Order: sequence, then structure tokens, then C-alpha cells
Amino acid sequence: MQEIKIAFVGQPNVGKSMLINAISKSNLKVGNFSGVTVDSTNINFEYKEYKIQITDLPGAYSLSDFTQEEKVTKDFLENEEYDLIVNVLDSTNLERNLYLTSELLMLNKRIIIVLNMIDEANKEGIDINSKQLSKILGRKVLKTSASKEIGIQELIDAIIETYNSDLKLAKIRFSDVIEEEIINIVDILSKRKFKSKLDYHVLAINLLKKDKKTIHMFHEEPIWIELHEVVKSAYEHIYIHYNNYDIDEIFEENRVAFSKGAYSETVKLTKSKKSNLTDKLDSILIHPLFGLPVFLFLIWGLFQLTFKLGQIPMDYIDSAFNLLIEMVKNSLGNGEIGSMLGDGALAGVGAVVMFLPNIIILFLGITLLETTGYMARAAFLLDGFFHKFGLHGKSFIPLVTGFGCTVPAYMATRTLKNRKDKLITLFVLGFISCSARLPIYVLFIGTFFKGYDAGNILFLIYLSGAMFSLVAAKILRKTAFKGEDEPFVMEMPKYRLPSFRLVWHSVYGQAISYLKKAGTFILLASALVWYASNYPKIDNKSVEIEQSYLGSIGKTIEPFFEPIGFNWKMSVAILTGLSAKEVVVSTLKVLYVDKDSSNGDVPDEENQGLIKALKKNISIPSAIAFLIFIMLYIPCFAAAAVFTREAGGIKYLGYLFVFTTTTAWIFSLIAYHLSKFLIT
Amino acid sequence: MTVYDLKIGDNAKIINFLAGREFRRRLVSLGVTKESKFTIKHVTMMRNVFELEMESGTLVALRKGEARKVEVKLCKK
Repeated sequence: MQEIKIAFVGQPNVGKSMLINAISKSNLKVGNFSGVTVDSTNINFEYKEYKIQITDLPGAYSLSDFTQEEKVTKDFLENEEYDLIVNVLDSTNLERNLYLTSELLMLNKRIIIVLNMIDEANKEGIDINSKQLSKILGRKVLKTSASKEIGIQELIDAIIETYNSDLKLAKIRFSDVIEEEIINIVDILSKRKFKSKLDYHVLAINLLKKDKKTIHMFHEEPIWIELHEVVKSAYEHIYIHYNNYDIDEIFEENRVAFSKGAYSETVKLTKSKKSNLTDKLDSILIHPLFGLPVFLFLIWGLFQLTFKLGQIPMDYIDSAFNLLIEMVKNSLGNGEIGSMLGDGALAGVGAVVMFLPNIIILFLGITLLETTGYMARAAFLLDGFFHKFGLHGKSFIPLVTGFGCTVPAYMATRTLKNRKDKLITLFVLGFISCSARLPIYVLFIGTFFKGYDAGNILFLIYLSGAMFSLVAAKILRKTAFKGEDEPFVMEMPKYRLPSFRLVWHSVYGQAISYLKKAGTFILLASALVWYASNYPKIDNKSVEIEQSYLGSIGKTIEPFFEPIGFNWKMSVAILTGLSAKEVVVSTLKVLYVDKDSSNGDVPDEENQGLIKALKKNISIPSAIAFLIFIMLYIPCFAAAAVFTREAGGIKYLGYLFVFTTTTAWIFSLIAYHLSKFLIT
Repeated sequence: MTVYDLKIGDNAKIINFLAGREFRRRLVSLGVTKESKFTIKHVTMMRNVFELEMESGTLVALRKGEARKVEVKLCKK
């Protein structure tokens, strides 16, 4: 069986993924969807006697390093092995799409040109002469519509036909000056019978483009002595003609001219083309006055859905897991293995699965906002404000999500295409107080600030968290991520109805990748915490936490926390808080109150015992410092795992740990001493 | 005159890009090329972001910093 490797390339919003979906669906044997990140995705299926592997490359306006997606696409096309390229174009925006095509043609590969969304183009009265276009591009040109499933079978047949045909070379028509110089160089090469795998024409263009590899190769050849002179005079000729010394720009202008020419020779507009749906929607959605309120309402709705609706299955999952843990422990006789499986492993898995409803709802919303084209509008509206803090307009979504839960918030940074923007947002997100920290805040406010209005203090805490993240973003932009701002140039896509199959596919992918990566990490971490708080055993009996490994660790790190007014119990709570913030309260309870209970989640009405004990043992300055530390240090293991994946390396987690811990420590120190000074 | 000096509804033609290669390439790949014409479609309240509608129908948003780097000539309707 022969294997055909195909790279699908296209500009963003051309319906590429939907097209692949349509192809693979009609050949049900779709397998592994690998790498759900911003990377490429592979889809395998069999057709007749061929094994077909499609690589879905991220959307790219051109082959450049401008965005991470474009870099992935460019690197793949230039360095990986593949048999042919399927270049997908938006028929309603052909001129601009042909620019990428003109770049692809210079790669000298087998290419099939697919004019997608042909149904929309027909509706808008855009008439494309595909035969003529095929002549100009020297490649097969097909018309398809992924949503109406037009031309899908034809595309598959064309793939196989092109795979079996000889590689035809495209001839982009350059300007006369360049064509003339190409001929001069080809002339020398053929006269000297230069041996090369590549076509002379290609070599000539590469030389004129100052392609490093080609120049390097020629440097080793005797022919370079003669060639060198010809190339030099060619440059002079071109420079004088264009009155420009930037050869890149000259080729770029040539490609623009080529795509413009190809467009005007093949496309006829039979009616005035504008669909004014986008116009009408935009007149409200990005209206200078109404735009923002509409946006805020939409986002408010999304968060209501995420956290209110998500709460319902969350509670079910929680009680289901508690039941399961009980069952496991009972059936295993409440012994060591039972406890390890139940309190360690299952509790950890439960903590992961619990966030799943939130993540699914939130991503359903975000995906809808993205695929309809609204997200670009949100960025348009908010960029002015967020740019002042070194963030991007789209940073808004992750930052607000952070108030609910940091895990989906980290995942939401995927909408940020620029790497610097994404990293800064990732680094400051933890300062936004997630809802899991609420129980701690409530407990401490109830204990130490009884006379005040709890609501106001809570608001103050949440507000200062948000301020922290904005200021931190500004500082990061000025220090660790300094350098020139990357240009903010963004397409505002036409509004489109999303394909529900594709939306579901995307949400499903996000959910699975969350479960896989976060799941394994959390499982390990929670097993570790369980072990550390239950061992070593003396005489086969559980010891109190004070003598456990966790207790000893707490005592060891106490000196670190002493300057900011924490005792060893508070230090342990900070540590266990790493596994999940809710655990801080239960840890404090175990340490301060019920000495007999082996785990802290025994319900205790209103925590009265704990409040009394805390009041007796912790001073107000220490409590304030503790609150600030909780507000600023690393959210939890789940978040850390997701952060690592999104940031793209464990070293970033190291930076994050140092960054947040230092910030937390310094501000706790200031708060501790300041409040001590003010109170006494 | 640059894009930053234009108002909603103005028609203009791009004369030159006043920034480096990266910037120019980005715009060109979006169909914002020298000599091309466009209309200013939307501007945010604080004049931070501009939306251009190119002749081809493509909508492109520019931050004010970038808008100042695109030299234009006003065209009559």
C-alpha cells in the first residue's frame, strides 16, 4: 500500500479544517488526532490502495515567522517530508489568498489549488474561471464547498492523480527585468552543464532571492567564479530598475503583482458583491458607544453559564467521587491500599474531572465567539485599554476567566496568537483570584475582620488581585519581555455561522488534552501529598501530621516563612494549598482542630472550632500576610500542569514559581510589618 | 499624512510603509499593499484602533502605533 502525505495549507478562515473534516468523514476510518495544541494536526485514512495522511497546518497569511502558527507552517513546508500540498483558498477573497499561493509555488512541490466556499462566491456573484487560473498557475484548480460538500470526491481523485503525475514546475511570471536576469543565469548554468537535482530556473530564482542555502552551495563550485559576475550585474540591473536595494521587497512586489494579475484575469463580478451582514452586525457590535456594553453582556452571559451551569455537574461529580472513594475504602477494609487508592489516587482524579464541565462550557463559548468572527471584534474594542498594560485586546478573556478558575484561563490564552502576548498573560494570570480561594478568604475575613463588611473586603481582595496582574504585565513587558512591540495588524473576518461538527470537534479536543496532561500530573502530585501527610508510620499506625513527612517539611521551611509571620502550621497549609486551594482550609482544620480525624473533610458546621483556634493562634498581621500570600502565589498543581503545557516548557514553570513566590513573599513581608506597625 | 489622520468614511490610497520589513510583509500578506485603496470603516472611541476596508473587501484592524506608520493620500469619493 502506498502512502501519500499531504500538507493542507491556507490562510486563516478559509474553511480548511471543515474541508478536511468533509474528506475524512466520507472515508470513515479516521484515526488519531494528534497534538491538539496550536500545532499541526494529523488525520489518517485509507482510500483505494492508498494510505493517506493529511497534515492540517495552522492558518498562515504568508510563509513568515510572524505568528507562531505561521512559523509552524513555514517550518513544516520547508523542512518536513511530504508528497503534495493542497492549497485551500477562500473563493470570496481570492486576490489576497493568491498571495500565499504565489509563495507556495516557489517551493517547487506538487500543489493542488482548491477554491473553497465556492457556493458563497456564487451567491455573491463572483465568477471564477478555474481553467484559466489553472493555466496561469500551472497547477490543477478545483472548486469545492466544504459546508455543502461540493467537489469533495473530485478533490480526493485529484490528490491521487497528482501524486502519480510528474512534478510540473510552476512559472510565476516575474517582471521583465527579473525574467531577463533569470534567463542569463540559466544560460550560464546550461552552457557549463552544471549538475544539480534542482531545475536551473529554480536555482536562478533562488540566487536572485539571495537564498542562503543556494549561495552556500554555489560557493563550493568552480562555476561560481563566472556565475558570481553574472549575478552581481543582475543585481545592479534590478536595483537600478526598481530604484530599491531591498531584493525581498522587490520579489514581494512581484508576487503581489502576480496575484493581482492572476485575479483580474480569472475573476468576473456579475453583481455588486458586498454581503452586508457583516456591515450591519459591525455597526452595532463595534459601535464606539454600544460595542462595549454588548461585549460585556455576552461575556457576563458566558461566565454565568460556565460557573452556574457548570456547578450542577460539578456537584454530581464531586459526590459521585466521594461515594466511589467510600466504596473503595470500605471494600478494601479501610486499610492502607484503600486509603492510597481512595484518598490519594481517586481524590486526585476527582479533582481533575471536576473542572471538566467548566472547561467544556467555557470552550464551547470561546470557540463559538472565535468561529463566528466575534473574537476579533472583542480584541478591536479592548485593545486600547489592555495595550496600555502591555497586554493584547484578547487577553481579556483569559483574565476574566481567571476569576472563575485558573485552569481554563490558562487554556484560554490559546486565542492569543503572538507568543510574547501569550506568555505575559500566562505569567500574570495567577494573580487573579480564582473561586477556589474564596473559602480561605471567607474563613479569614470571618475570623479576623468580624466587624467589617465581608463583601467590601472580598471586593478589595479581588480588585487588588486584578490590579496586581495588570501592573505585573506592565512590568514584565518593560523587563523580561522588553523590546519593540510587535505590530498589531489583524484581519477582521467576515461573520460566519459556525459548523457545529467542527466546534464540537475543537471542544472535544480541548477536553481530552486537558484530561490527559493535567490528569497525569495531578494524579502524581495528589498521590505525593497523600503520601507525605500519612507517612512515615510508627508501629503501623498513622502518625499525626506534625510527625509526618509533610509536617517535617513544614518545619524545615518554617524559617523561610518566619519573616512574614507564618508558623509551621500555616507553612504546611501553604504547601498543601499547592494541590488545590480548597485544601488550605481543610489542612488548617486538621492542624488546629480535630486532632483525631485522619482527613480534614469531615463537615463541621460553620467552622466555629477552627475560627476560635485561629483567632487564638494567629495574629492579625500574620493573617493579613497569609491572605496576601494566598492571593499571589502559584494557584495549584492543575494550573501548574496546564501552564507548563501552554507556556511550552517546564523551565517556564520554574520562572513562574520564582516570580509568583517572590512577589507573594515580598508583599506579605511588607503587609506584615506595616500592619504590625499600624496596630501596635 | 498617515492612517492615523483619517476619519471614519475617508477614502485613501496607500503611498508608503514607514516601518521595517516585518511590518510591511504582514500588511502585504493581508492584502494591504502599496497603491491599494481603502475606506476607514470604524475607529474606537479613544482612537486606539482603526478598521480599514480594503477594495477587495478585506477588513483589517490597525493599532494607532501602526496606523501612524502607513503613509496615505486622501482620495475623493
